[in-house]
Amino acid sequence: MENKKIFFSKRASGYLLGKKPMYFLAILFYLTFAFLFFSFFISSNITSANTIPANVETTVLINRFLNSPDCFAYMDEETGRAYPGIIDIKKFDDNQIKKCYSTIENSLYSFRFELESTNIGYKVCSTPNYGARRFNKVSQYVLVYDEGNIYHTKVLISIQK
Amino acid sequence: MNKRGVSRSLFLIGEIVGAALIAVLLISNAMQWTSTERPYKEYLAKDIALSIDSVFASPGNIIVNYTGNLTDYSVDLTGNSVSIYNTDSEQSNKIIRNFVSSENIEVNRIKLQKPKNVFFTKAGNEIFIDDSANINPNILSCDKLDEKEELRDKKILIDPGYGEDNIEESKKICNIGNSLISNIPTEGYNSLSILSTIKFDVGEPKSLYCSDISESDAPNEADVIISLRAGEYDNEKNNIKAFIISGSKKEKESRILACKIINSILSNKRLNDVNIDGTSIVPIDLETTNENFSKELFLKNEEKAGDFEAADFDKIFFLLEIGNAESEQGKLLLEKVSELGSSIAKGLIDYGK
Repeated sequence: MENKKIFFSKRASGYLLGKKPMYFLAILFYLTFAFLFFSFFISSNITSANTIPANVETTVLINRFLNSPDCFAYMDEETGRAYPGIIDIKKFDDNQIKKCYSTIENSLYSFRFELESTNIGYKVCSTPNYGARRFNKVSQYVLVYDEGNIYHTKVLISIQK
Repeated sequence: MNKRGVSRSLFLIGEIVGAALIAVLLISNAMQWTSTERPYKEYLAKDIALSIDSVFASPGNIIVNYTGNLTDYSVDLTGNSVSIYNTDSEQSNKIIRNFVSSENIEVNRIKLQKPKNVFFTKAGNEIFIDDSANINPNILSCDKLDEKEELRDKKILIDPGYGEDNIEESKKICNIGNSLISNIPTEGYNSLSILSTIKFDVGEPKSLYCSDISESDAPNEADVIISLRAGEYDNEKNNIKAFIISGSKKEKESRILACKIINSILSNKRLNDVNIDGTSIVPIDLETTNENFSKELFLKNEEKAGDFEAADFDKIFFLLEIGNAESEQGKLLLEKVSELGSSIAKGLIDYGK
């Protein structure tokens, strides 16, 4: 058996593997494993080296909701001037969110916004991709525009990755 | 002949070739992964996607000068993603990162090759990426129509005024109206549905009689009224303004049409040599303004000026004040008759698209 590599065994009607091919197979398996391991290790290192801190990304996206007149920000129809940071209560609903935050891509952050004050009651809206998953919660002071009045309140924002 | 020996040699060659192949694959892949270029491309793609997300968050028009070095790469911007790669032939090494798009804002698809400078611009309802900041920051953000409505089948009344005070300016405005009339039939508009407050010239193609401006006898049964005037202010500011009737039934539609037309004028590259200081859409209360507005334009048969109720007014209307005729730049703007006419026509056609 020592010098045999692969040959047809008449007795067993099948193939037998010699030591050398076995050795190469083991090496091939080992090299493939090593290649996959190092590829994964390097790629994850590259990705982590370039990762933008999560709070930077979410802050940019939250700014869109609060500052853009396409989202919640109040805009004076007469002058066309937008007021960043002032939430127009008429825009604070799921339909408006769908217009300003397209969630075709599943890997996007999802958000849920809650407003509560004695003047406007309890209002909640969320992006279509928001679901029953783990979330982080942050809060931010905002002004709310409702029928010509401006109220000072806090918005609670739940964020999911 | 030693058959076993030949077989062994072939097998050995196979082993060597296999080993070499694996070694080449391993080395080339390791080189690719560890190349310093890849992390940088990855970084650029993420950074640009995040920058575009920030541009979306801007409440108004904004121009961002991106300072990352892209001189060795190509940038491809699509509706919701940005791609970075070296050359067209190396598209397999593309790094793609997504940003979050918005329904009301259109991202202009563009490809930049090895740009020295990169600018992200949000102007009106559009986001651009370009190697120069040549977008007019005065561009307005236009609302969207609730329901799609084209003006092709509507009766459009062009009102260039009669020029009682300033004949020369009125002739210029009349010629702008003529340029507008000559531009829209090519887009499927019926010239019969074009009306005017002044008399038309005899013969074809249809045109306003600008040599001797006089009031038309035709009844103003129009669906859309476009009044054109030159502003007259005692300063050097050269603004374009559109006045709409506050509280009218078609106030939103009037605002959108005025917005499209103003944006069309600002985007016309042939008007780049004229300085336009600013643009605005001004809602007016007809009861307090009457100098510039001939109320007869809005009145139904036998209705008196005092009876006019804005809430009952159901036409799309705006008065477009094209620059300040008293300023140097305003005079220059009013000379651009064909450019202004074609821009107004383009805005009219864009409405409803």
